[in-house]
Parts: sequence; structure tokens; C-alpha cells
Amino acid sequence: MFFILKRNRLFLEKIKEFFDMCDSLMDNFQETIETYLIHGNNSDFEVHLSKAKKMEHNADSLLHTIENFLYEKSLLPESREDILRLFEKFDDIVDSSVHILRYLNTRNITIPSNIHDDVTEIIKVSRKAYEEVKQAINELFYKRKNLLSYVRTINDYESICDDIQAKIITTIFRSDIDKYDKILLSDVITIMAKLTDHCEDSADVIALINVKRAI
Amino acid sequence: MFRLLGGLFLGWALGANDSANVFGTAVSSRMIKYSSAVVLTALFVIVGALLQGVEGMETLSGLTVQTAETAFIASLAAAITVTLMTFLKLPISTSQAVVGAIIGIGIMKQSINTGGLIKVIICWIGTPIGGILFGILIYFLLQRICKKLALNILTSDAVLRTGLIIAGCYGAYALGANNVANVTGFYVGNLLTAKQAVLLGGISIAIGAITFSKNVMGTIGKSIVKLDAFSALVAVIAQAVTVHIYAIIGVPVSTSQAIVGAVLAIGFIKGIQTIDFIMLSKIFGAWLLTPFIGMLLSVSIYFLVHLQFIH
Repeated sequence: MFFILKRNRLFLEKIKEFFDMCDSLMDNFQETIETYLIHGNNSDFEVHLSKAKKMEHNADSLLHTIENFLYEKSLLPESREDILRLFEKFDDIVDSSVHILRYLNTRNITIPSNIHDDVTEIIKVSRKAYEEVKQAINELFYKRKNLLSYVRTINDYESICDDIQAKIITTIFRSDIDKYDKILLSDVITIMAKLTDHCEDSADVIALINVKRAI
Repeated sequence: MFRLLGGLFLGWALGANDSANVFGTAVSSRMIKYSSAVVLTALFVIVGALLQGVEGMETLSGLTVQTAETAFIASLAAAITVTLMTFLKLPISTSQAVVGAIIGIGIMKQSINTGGLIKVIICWIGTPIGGILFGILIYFLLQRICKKLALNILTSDAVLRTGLIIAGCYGAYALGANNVANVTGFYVGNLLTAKQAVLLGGISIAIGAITFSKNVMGTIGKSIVKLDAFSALVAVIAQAVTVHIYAIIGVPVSTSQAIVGAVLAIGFIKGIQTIDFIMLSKIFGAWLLTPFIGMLLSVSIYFLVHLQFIH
């Protein structure tokens, strides 16, 4: 039993390390979007993007370590599969943030100032949803209480994000900008809103894990 | 010594059919590997037989007086019955097959101890009911403890796995203690001493568990009610407690009936729609048929054996 508890502690340390890396990546993402809204695709953005790519790579390496740990642990096969799926979904959130930055970089999109506040709001809500997912996963590995309240909050954030997305896309298509730009902008907003979709996917896995283990 | 082969065959058949009751739920819910399960079963069956197997032998041998020849016939008839049911993947009672076979011989010899028989039949009815009652009791008790502890997923998995291994070993111990009497109990006093009987019986059950127990395991763990890890643990503990109580009383009962009772208890708690009633009716049908098949086979074998003395 002592051996199991020691291995659990090591495993939880690895998860913390992974979350810290993801936090840094998300901080960098928020900062980069703010910079992009003000200055567009300048050299600063390039620096932030390469930083994000490096962090994504590090996060992936940590995730592989966690996956290996899961195979060595005395987990039930079903739990192992569920946890692996959960981390894959969580990884989709951070991967998606890097994808948004790449998209902005390759398309060199100019975001009109009249939607800046809403774009910032989407990013903030996504970040809140991400934090809730992280808290829920932590809860799963510690006390397993209030899991469903986290799931509900994440779903609420996803709905808020959908509303903002619809609002921004409506604004874009009612504006006088070029049709080609309208499509590009609408695409980038849809990709940004996917952040909370990935959070919702993670929440679904958490809810399923909770239901499966309900006694 | 040739006649002892009937007992060893019965031990093998019992191990193949009944060891599924000990770790079947755990193997089916993928909590423990099949290979680890059968090795642990084999080991603890022998320990149980050696430490507490003698009590049941007295009850069984009290039903009728057995000679080496009738002991061979009864064992062979019961072993064929159990093997047949194992091929059909049905968890049945070896005790019923054995008692059926003894009654068959009793009919041929016109001597049946009805007092002992009634005690055994009452216990047959009591075994699945005991499994259900202990299943419900243990489920709610463990549920309360788990909710109070609110263990995280890592610790709860470790606790469940460890608990299931311990409960499985206890179940195997109870199986050995209770059922070894069915296997070699008839030979006590004619071919073997009580200690030799429990040792040989234990070993033959262990070999049956190792070589041919996979078929029935699936039926126990998946076909009646699909069990999660927690329910699997509850079922094994309930089965082990029920069988151990009968081992202390000294009545050889069926681990199959105890585990089916315990699995049914989980079905009742989780909702009656989770129970596969078709599979359940097949199992109940097999339980009803088992003593009759055992009896018919022993009558037939007894008749055939005695045919050679006509001329």
C-alpha cells in the first residue's frame, strides 16, 4: 500500500508539471492574442508563436510520460482508458490554442477594431473553461467531489462562447469589409470558439468517469 | 487405487466449474489476469481443504455408507455431470451432482439417510438466498464506507484491486474448505484417511481450476449482470462469506449458487432490467437438472458395473 501511495504521489507530481506547462502555454496564448489585436502580425507575434510551439512540444513530452505512468500503475483497465481519453481531450485544448496562433500567422488576418472586445471576451471565457477543466481533473485525482458542478460550469462557458461567436460572426457579415476577409475572419472566430468545445469534450469524459464510478 | 480416479476426476471437474465463482467476476471486469486468478485459486483451495475441509466430509459420508466401489461410481457420475455443465458454460452445484449420485447409489442399495439429505436440501435453498442477503448487506456497507472515504480514482482502483484479490483468495479458501468433501469424502475410511482425502481433493480441484475454468468465468462475470469493479468485489465477498459459514456448519454447498445469489443481489440493487433472465433461467434449469442427472448416471454406472457379475 505504501508503494502504491508513493507511486500515486509521483504520478500527481507529473500531472502538476504538465498542468504548469499548459498554464504557461495558455498565458502566452492570451498575451499573444492581445498583442495581435493591437499590433497585428509583427515580429513580437512571431516570437510568441515560436515560444508557444516549444511549450506545446514540452507539454506533449510530459503527456507521454503521464501515459507511460498510467500503464505502469495499478489502475483498472477501464480507468486507464478513461484517464487516457481525458488527457487526450485536455491536450486538444492546448493544441487548439497553438493552432489558432498558426492560423493567424499563416493567413495574416487583420481583426477589425469593432470586434476586439468580443474576441478578447471569447479568449477570456475559454480560459475560464480551461481552468474549470483543470480543477475538475485535479478533483478526480484528489477528492472526487463537486465534479458535476465543474461539468455544469464548463457547459455554461461553452454556451456563452457560442453566443459571443454568433454575435461576432453576425457583426462581421453585416460590416462593409471584403467578402474574402469576412470568410477568413468568420473561420478564425469559429476556430477560437472551438477552445470551449474542447473543454466541453473534456467535461463529457469527466462526467462519464463520474457516472461509471457512481456507487 | 484405480477407484480413486473417480474422485480425482470429480475434483478436476469441480475446479473447472466452481473456481469461476471465486475470481470470475474479477477476471471478467478485467481487474485481475486469468493466469494470476487460477494460480491464486489453486493455492488457496489447497490451504482451505487442508485447514477446514474435514468437517464437510463427515456430513457427506453420513448420507450413505460408501464402499470403495460405490465411492468410485458416485464420483464418476458426479464428475461427468459437472463436466457436461462446464462444457455448456453453466455454473452449477457440484454438491448437487454428488448428492444426486449418492442418492442413486442409495436407491440401488435401498439405504438413504433421509435426515442428512433434508439438511443438505435445506442448505441448497439457503445458499443462493444467503448469497443474495449477504450481497445486499455487503453492498450497502461498502457503499457507505466508500462514500465516507471519497477516495480518488487512483487510490480507489488500488483498494478495489487489492480487495478483490484478498476476497478472491478468501473465496478460494472457502471453496477448498467446503467443497473438498464432495471430491474425496467418499473415500474416507475405505481408501484414504481424512488428511489424505483433503490433500488429494484439494490438489485435484486446483488442477481443474488451472486447466479448464475459463468457460464458466465468462458466464459468472458477464452473462447474468454486467458487473463493474465495485460490484465484482461485493459479489466475491458475499459468496465467500456464505460458503465459509456453511463450511463451519459442515455442509458442503455450492459456490455457484452463492455467487449467482450475490450477482443477483447486485442486479436487484442496480435495477431488475440489468438482469439477463434468459441466462438466469438456463442456470436455474441446470440447478434443477444436476441432481437428477447425477442420480441417473450413478444408477446407470452402478447397474453396468454389476452386470459383469451376472455370469
